[in-house]
Amino acid sequence: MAQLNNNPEYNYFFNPPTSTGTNDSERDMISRMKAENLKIFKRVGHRSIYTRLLELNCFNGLAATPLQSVKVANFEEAVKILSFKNAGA
Amino acid sequence: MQTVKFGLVDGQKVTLDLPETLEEVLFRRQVSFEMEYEKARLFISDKVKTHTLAENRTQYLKYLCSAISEFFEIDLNTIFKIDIKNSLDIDGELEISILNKHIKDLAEGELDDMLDQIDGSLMNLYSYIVRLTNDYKPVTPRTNEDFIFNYKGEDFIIPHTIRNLYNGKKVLTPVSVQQAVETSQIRMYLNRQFDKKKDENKTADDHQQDANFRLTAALNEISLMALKRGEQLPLDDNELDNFIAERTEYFFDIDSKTTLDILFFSIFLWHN
Repeated sequence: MAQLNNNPEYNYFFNPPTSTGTNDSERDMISRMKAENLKIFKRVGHRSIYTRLLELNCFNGLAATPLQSVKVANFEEAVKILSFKNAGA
Repeated sequence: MQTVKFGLVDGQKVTLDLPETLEEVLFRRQVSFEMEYEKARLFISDKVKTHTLAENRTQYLKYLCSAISEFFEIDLNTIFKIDIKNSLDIDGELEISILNKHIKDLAEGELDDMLDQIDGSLMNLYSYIVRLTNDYKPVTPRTNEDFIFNYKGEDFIIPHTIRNLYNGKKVLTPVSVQQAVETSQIRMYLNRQFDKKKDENKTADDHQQDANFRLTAALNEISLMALKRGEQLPLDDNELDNFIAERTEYFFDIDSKTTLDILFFSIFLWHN
């Protein structure tokens, strides 16, 4: 993990860019989204990565179903893709 | 493995097979023992803090017997029957000088000397087990080498995740999203369990739960990471749950040395 963390290509997987919003309503929305994300993590834990990768459809075809394809995908590839996505790509 | 004999109060003897190395200790016994050891440690620490160790010293024997009973998977009543009159004073209380020496041994004793000193003494036996179970010396995994261990005649492999390419770049070998996510999930559950309460507020049931979690989490993690050559984890969630349950049961008799090697290797992987 530390090896991945040291790779600048994967920076935004481990350190997603943070925004504090430009006005009160944006700040309020961001803080509610963060709280909601934390709740989701508490409920499903690290498995929430599956749903994020499913939404991206990037590993389809590796196995019989999209979910199975995500599961058999290389973890490092997944980290790279999520890092790009977090960076705004 | 050595054999040690202890006289019982009814004149009979109990024979125990005493491991000499961690390869001879079952991991599940070590976890159960450590749970009781933790209770004994907290008991002593609490009584020292409140300056009541002297009047409660004989109670300490109860914790010690429970730990020994767990380690050998022997009925607690049999351990209670071991004759300890040589360790008692004229009031039937645990001799203070013996308790002091025992506490010193726990902190400083050398494993090799302790094996010779057991000599029918329950407290020396306990000190020896504490030292033995703490005697793990991790071996730093070599770069690019997989960790292979043999269990019940079959080879299991944990791939070394980091490979150095000829151009100096480091890449990860195929650890699947599933392996990474499910292993992280197990560690998250384990941390949540341990973080539920502070150690000093834990009840006996909490310690029991911690021990169960620790054993199950370790065996689950081994089931996920250590596969036979060419084997893949099932992709269906129910099949994966069954696979982990079956492998966890299969690894139930795994020894401490192998388990600690696997967990150490695994920690090395995730933190490097």
